[in-house]
Order: sequence, then structure tokens, then C-alpha cells
Amino acid sequence: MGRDYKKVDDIKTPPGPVTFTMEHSQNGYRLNGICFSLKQEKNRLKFREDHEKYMADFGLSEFEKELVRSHDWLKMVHYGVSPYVIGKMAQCFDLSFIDWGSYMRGEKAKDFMERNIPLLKNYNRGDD
Amino acid sequence: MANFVGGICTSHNGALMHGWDHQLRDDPIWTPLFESYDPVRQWIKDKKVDVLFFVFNDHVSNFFFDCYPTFAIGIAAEYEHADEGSGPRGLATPYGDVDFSRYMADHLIRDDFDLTVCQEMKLDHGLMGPTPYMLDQPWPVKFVPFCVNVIQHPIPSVRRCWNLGKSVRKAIEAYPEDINVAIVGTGGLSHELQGTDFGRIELDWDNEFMDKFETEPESMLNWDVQEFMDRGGSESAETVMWFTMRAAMTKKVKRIHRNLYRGMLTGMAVLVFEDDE
Repeated sequence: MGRDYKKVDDIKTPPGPVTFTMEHSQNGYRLNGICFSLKQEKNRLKFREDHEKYMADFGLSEFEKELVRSHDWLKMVHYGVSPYVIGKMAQCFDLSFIDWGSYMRGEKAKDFMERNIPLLKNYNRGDD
Repeated sequence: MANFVGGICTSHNGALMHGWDHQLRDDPIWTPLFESYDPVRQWIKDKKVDVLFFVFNDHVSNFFFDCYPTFAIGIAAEYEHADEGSGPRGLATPYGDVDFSRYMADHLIRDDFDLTVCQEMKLDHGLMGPTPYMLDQPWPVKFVPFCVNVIQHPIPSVRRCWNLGKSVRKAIEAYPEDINVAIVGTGGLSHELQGTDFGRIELDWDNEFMDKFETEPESMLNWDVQEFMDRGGSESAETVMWFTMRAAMTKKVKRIHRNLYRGMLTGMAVLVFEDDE
């Protein structure tokens, strides 16, 4: 973990959970900022129209732009983009929460849904 | 004097928002989830609740990381709905009880809780996820929104959130107006949204947790937040907020309602307790 990544490939993605710390928050500050800006409809429209221009106007570094272009949501999370703002950007690429989440698992969203939908029910003691 | 009527704990997540906004009650997959909140709505009616002291977390909807408060309380007369990516939701306007909110902020700060005091707060699904399931609209209650940082670590400990609940209860008891107040703790239960185990759910732990939470909550007060994350997934760190509700209650509680529903990404729980002493 550090601010001196040269390229997207340098971001390691060990299996298991990521705990979003102050260090993540500082690494991902501008990326979180651009995602946060997308909570406004007018910004979402601009981003959808030309995300390269939007990223340039926002002042992202070349590394940060590469990370967005990669659509590698797992690397983004490991780098320091909060899962609570990633969705706002993913949505502008027409990706749902399940889409980018399943990507982190290395699974297709369709497969994730098909596997999980039959499990959606109450699980109280004594059920079934 | 204010009357403390009891407490509610509930998950809050995007699924609740989706289910409500698409009115999915009649979809057989969703029906049990909607029905699990019917007893809560009835209880709030029966108890003639005037104000909900609502402990939840913002999901980078209102606050940004430029300044992320650990504890923040709203003291406004009226709140806006956050835009979480699809525009602000078409829900009734949430109103605050300004006098009570200011009183609570005053009490809690004097009792050594260093709160950020907010005159504006956009409420996201942390509060407004479960609320339409629990209350009719227009909302028959006023809200005191109380935000806890549970997303940028380190987050407040279980014991800190517990102590907060003790202080909240003490303050409610001493409030001079004759209003009925309930406390709501939100978050959890098991879920993991960051990393290769996205979608992890631990239903056995969720049920075990709810058992312990009801009968022996103090056995978990020294647990590190990491313990909850290990057992229930990284985002079950949110569970610390349940302890504020639990600490506001008596040691022994009467369980009015409890349900666990397995959502797509979350062990979704709801329960209602009353004092039993």
C-alpha cells in the first residue's frame, strides 16, 4: 500500500476482505472524490457523455485515469476506492452493484444471481 | 417527562431501497422481508411513538472523506433525502424535533461524547432503507438522526457505542417534555462487499449473534471490531451500532419481534425489544 504506484498492475489483490482504512481513504481521495461528484445528476450526465473529459477536468492523474479505464473494481477497492462510491461510477458504465461486486469474485453477475436467488428466504431458528 | 418505549434493530441496505422503490411486496421472494417489518410498524403505532432516535451510518452520501465525523447528530427541523445515484427518492419529508435533538446533543456532549452537530443532513439508506417498511407516510414520527462512522477504520468500539446508548437512555429519561421515544440501531448483519468474497453471508452467526445480543450483550463488549468482521464479513462492522440500542435497554429485555431474512448480499435482521425490569 502506498501512494507511489506507477501502474495499475502494481496494485496487489490478495484474496479475502479489504478493510477501508485512513490510508486507503487518502490513497483513493481523488478517485473517491470523482465518484462522490457523480451523486449529482448533472455530473452523471457529463461523465456518461465523455468520461475522459470529465476525468481530465477533475484533475485525475494518469495513474488514476488508467485505474478507471481498467474497470478493475477489485484493484480499485484494494487501492482505496470506497465500495459506497464505486457504485455511483459503475452505474455510469451501466453496471449494477452486483455486476461490479461479482467482478471482484471473478464471477459473472448472472451466475452470482442464479446461485443466490433460490436462497432468498427467512432463516429463523425453527424455519423449514 | 419523556417516556422511553423500547428499541428496534434493523439492517439497512440497498436491497431495502430497491424493494421499496419497486414496490415488490407481492413478489414471493420479497414478501417475507416486507412482512418481517409489519410487527414493527404495528408496535410503533401501539406505542404511540413520537420520536425515533435513529443510530445509523452515512454511506458517503452526506459526508465525504474530506471531513468524516465519528459521531454526528442532526438537530434540524427538516431533512432532505440523499441522491444515491438515481436521484433523491420520492419519500415523505422527514421532520426533526429540534428541541429534543438539541437537548440530546447538549446532554451527550456534556456526557463526554464529542459530537459533530449538523444543521443539515441528507439522509441515505442507512436511515431511509428500513424506514418505509416500519412506518406509514407521511411519517407519523419525528427523527433524530445520529450518524456513526463505521466505514473508515478505525471505527468506534463496541464498548464506546454501548456507553453511548447508556447516555442516550439517561438523557431521554430526563427530558422534561411528555413524548414517547424509541431508539433504533441499524446495520449488519453479515455481509462483505469489499474483495474477493463479495457476497459472503453467515446466517448461523447472525442467529447466534441475535441470541447473544438479546441475553448476554455484555459478553461482546470487549470484542474488537475485527472479531465481528471475521465472523460476519467486513461490513458487519456496522453491528457496533446495534449496541447503542441494546445499552439503552434494561439488562433483561422482552423480545417483541425477531426475524432474519437472507438477502442477496446481507443477512437482513429486524428485532424489537422492550424493557423487562
